[in-house]
Amino acid sequence: MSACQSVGDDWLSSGFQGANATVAYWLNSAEQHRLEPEQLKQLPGAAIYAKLGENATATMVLSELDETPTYTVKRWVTQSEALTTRYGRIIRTQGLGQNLIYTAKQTTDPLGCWIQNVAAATNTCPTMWRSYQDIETSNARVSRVHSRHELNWRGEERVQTPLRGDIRTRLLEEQVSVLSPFQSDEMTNESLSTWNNFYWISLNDGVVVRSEQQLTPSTDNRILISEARY
Amino acid sequence: MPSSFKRLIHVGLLCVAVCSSPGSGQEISTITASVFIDGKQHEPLNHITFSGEPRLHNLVAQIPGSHQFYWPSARVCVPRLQKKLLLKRKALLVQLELIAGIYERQGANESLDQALKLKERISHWPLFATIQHGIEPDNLLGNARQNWALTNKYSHYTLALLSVPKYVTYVGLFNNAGRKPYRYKLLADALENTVSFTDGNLFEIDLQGRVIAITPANAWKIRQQPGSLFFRGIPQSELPSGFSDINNKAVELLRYWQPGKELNQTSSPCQV
Repeated sequence: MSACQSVGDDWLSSGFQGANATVAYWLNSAEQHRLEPEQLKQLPGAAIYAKLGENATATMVLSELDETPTYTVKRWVTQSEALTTRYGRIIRTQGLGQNLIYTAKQTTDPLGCWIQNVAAATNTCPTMWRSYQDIETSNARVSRVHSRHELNWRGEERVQTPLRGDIRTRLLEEQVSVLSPFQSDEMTNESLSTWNNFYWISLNDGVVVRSEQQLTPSTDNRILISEARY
Repeated sequence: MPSSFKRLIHVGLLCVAVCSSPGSGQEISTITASVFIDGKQHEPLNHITFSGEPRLHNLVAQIPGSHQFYWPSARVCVPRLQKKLLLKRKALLVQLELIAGIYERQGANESLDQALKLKERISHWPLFATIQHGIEPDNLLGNARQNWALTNKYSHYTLALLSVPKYVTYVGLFNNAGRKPYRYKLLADALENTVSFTDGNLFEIDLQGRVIAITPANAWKIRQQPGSLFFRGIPQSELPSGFSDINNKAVELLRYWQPGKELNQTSSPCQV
């Protein structure tokens, strides 16, 4: 059995009172959500920058870490929003205009395998994955979206991070196809919409230091995540 | 897959002791929890003990792989609420009996059959009282209001959770009442044009307890949702004077249908 490990539990559960003024500032400020490196150093734990669509960039802190031999799940929060990632993939959101409330077939998601083998010369991981996601729309209705995912390496890139500097990464491209909701069985390949997700994975430690992920066919639901504090 | 649909987690929290801490004079309550998965007790989690006043997050954090479950389906039951809910059902059944009597005196045999059928079906609904419909587990630590304390005010708590809803369920006076695979369909298509949308007796109750009256205006605009219940009651125009709210009362009960349960299944117990 694995239990969630709360990161910074004391200061979060006490209504952020234990956090320093910097944290309180970005949680409450409508204008400034992106912490500078000096401010990041004062945070008690890991943090990411997250940008949804055309919205301003927010800094989100790691509130919980659920780590087992088969998965690593992280919960990132601001005061009113939350992202849950599994091996870097967003599997649930909370507090956004539209929210991903469920991601199916997580146990067969090959993304973790690709991450663990980031430095391997040849790929041994499955390239295809089928899933479905339940999205709660802004009018509080839930739609189920069936999707097909195809993963492929796209060479090496260097990614700049605020505190760890320049990081050498390998770029993983994921082509996502939304399948016809009327023909969403395993044999169907007809797609209604297609986009690409990207994951920049550190060649040194396998951390996803940056990603671009789209939750629905609408680009309004495209989220850019980058490492702020490791 | 039916087995995955049935996948339920029940967490029972039992306040087993309220004792005094020696020397402190302070009361310390002990609350235990037990977990059921797929309607069955989950061995490693069948007896969790919390000291003091645990909060909802303490409970959620105990569940392995909690990110894989369907949290809008979460229900938190306590016996006192369950008793009240069952009393509400009894009251509704009495009202339906009265309605049936009126129809009988009027010689309205078709309406009489409807009232009796509805009464019989409601008596078997798997009702499960809940403090809230759905849990948003990802930011509980930062939200004290959502992360409420499990206190010894109630002797026992039960959390029921569904892995993923793959069905919708037709209840009430539908001829084809029962569970159907969820499909991405307009409400009108999902109901297969077998019913009239103008009778004021059709409702959708979603997994989060939200109710929508289905009308000609929305039946062709909105799609069904996974896990929803569809209720067909007695046509509004046929309800006797003084009983015009009978369908609404039935819908209020349906908000407490235990997710994942089929017609005529019994709900999970609130108590150990």
